[in-house]
Amino acid sequence: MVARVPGDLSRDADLAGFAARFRVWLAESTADVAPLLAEHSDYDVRVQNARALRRLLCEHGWGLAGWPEEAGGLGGSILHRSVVTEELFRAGWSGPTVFEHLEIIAPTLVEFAAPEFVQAVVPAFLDGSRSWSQGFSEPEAGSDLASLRTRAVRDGDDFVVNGAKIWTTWSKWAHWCLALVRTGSAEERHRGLSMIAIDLASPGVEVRTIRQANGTDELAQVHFTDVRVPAAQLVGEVGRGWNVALYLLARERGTLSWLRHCAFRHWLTTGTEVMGEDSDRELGSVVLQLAGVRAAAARLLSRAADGAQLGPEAAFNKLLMTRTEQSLFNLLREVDGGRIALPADSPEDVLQQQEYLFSRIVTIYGGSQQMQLTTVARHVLGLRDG
Amino acid sequence: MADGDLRPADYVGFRDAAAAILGRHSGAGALDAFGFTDVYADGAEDLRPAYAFLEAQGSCCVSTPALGLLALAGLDDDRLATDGRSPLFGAPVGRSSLVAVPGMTPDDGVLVDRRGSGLVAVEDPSAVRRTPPAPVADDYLTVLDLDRAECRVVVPEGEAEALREGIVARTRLGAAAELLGLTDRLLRDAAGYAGQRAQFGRTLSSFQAMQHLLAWAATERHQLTCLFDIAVAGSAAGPVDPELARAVKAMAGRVFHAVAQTAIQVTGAISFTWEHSLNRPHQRGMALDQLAGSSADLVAAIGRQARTEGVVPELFALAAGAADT
Repeated sequence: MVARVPGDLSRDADLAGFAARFRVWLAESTADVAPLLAEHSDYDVRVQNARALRRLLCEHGWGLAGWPEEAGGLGGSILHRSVVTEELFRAGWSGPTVFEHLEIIAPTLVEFAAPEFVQAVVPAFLDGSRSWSQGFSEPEAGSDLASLRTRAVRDGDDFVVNGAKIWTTWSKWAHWCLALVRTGSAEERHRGLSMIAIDLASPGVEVRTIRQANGTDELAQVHFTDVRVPAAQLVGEVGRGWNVALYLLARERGTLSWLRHCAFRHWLTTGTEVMGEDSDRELGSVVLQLAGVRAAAARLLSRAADGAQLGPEAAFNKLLMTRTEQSLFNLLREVDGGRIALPADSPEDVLQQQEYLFSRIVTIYGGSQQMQLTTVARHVLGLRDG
Repeated sequence: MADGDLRPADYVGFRDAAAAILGRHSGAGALDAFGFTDVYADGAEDLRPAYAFLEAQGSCCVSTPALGLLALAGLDDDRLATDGRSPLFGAPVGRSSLVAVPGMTPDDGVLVDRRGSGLVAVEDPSAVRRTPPAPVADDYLTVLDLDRAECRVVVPEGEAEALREGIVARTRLGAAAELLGLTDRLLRDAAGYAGQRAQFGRTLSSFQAMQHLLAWAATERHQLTCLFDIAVAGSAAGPVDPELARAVKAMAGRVFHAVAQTAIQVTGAISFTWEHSLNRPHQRGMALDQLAGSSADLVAAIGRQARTEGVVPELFALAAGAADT
């Protein structure tokens, strides 16, 4: 008889057994879980379901598995979280929407924020009642992130923040923004930056959604006008925000690729239904690319679980992940172009169209493909200018 | 590439030890110095050192019969030996009657797999050897034409069927190990050349176009090491999963060709000379890609299976794959 609780989450525990226990729970909870996994063309409904799923998972312990106890979790490692993710996708999930940020932002808070702040905000992130966005890019600071201008000035126990962030994904639904701000001079470049958590309900915050080419409004521009932020909400030390950003980006570029590859498998499996014999070679090629993403992600997860500092090798994951996403959707377009390009009449088709269009820009977010290639060239291969 | 801290430490240790030996020895002498036959003398329970040896062999571009021995590792059957020596396995090449034998010498016996007959010994391998009309850049693989060969059944079809899957999986993973080593060699040499060669008053490696070419090559190679390492780690615990070995071999061939093309582009016209150091490993890799299923055929087979079964293979479980490496 398989236990119906997460069980032993120690580093040496049997992950396969953990996965088996979770599968049993999923099967027994179908009536509650299945409606939350279903695809919807209405993004608000998807976010609502994602919150409810987080709540349900936490109520039964599965959403707390893999998170440290000081953050409200049950212990274990990122491998446990990744097992839960994969099993949900196997059960038909199309993705966590706004809680994709969970694997990026929550580990960063745990690593760098004050323990009291972690205890105050991370449990609510885990159980879906609060979600986060990240404020990095600005209208005048894209790939050249170190030139950002949003300024935070110390005033008593607070920082006063002024400026604007753009492309802040899921801000429309977010309660918090983890923002990279300038606390030093512009000449200090990346050495003059700090990371701070801003409550988006604060006076002076304005979120303006951006309607995207795929019809959704996941992205937003966020304006800060004399926003007072308690200094206790600093994440890391003053002037060390760049290090925090690098830690976070290693998650966005690296460990997140596990979740994304699960989603790719979902789309590719669906696509095989309309493929013919003439697609075999291209399909095989995408399956092989997907295997590469999975293997590279597994290596990074293992290193993260062992406490290794993830470095420039995360650029490999980002390059592989985004190339595969584009290859996958190129294939789906080639075998069933009408489904991608013509007005849709089902939630599944609307979602696939949204995903196809989104796949066109995945080589831009989180550090463009060209930036990742330069990272590999300089920091892995050791190639130098001049 | 210097990524020893990203790959399994035990495996890297075996590989580096093999590379040191292969820098001084080749052929059976290199196998003896490494203790290669000891690796599977006790029943082939852990073949990681053998795969590590083959990766080093690719990187050094040295010839030994290791791959032909590895295919038959663990088949503790007195019938296989000829004159007390272990035979080499002749791996199928494409859909023809040809087989290729790695590192073969005139004294070696050769065993091949013939569907319907079983595992058969080629009576006089030298007599059916393909004789190129012109010098070859690399003589590592000896090609035999079985249509002209006299063969003797060693393991009849009824028994061979149970052995076939393991032989193919070991051959594919072993060839992938060599292809990975060759890929490393080409990437390392190309990056080194780009750091030395100057044009327009700057080194080639200072141009972003060159940096990005080499970065893509390193990315291709990275995904191969990740999948390969998972397969090799799994081989320590039991037989290699055939689907995983097929995927690794397919990826190894594809990655090799991509990196070879990059290496040629980076090194320029000089690499299209007979004597250039790139020529031999390039041609060796091209030939290895044809063994036990070319990357082109394997990729198509992977796609066909995914389409007809409606399942995109996962190939390994996170529980086993990540935790064990």
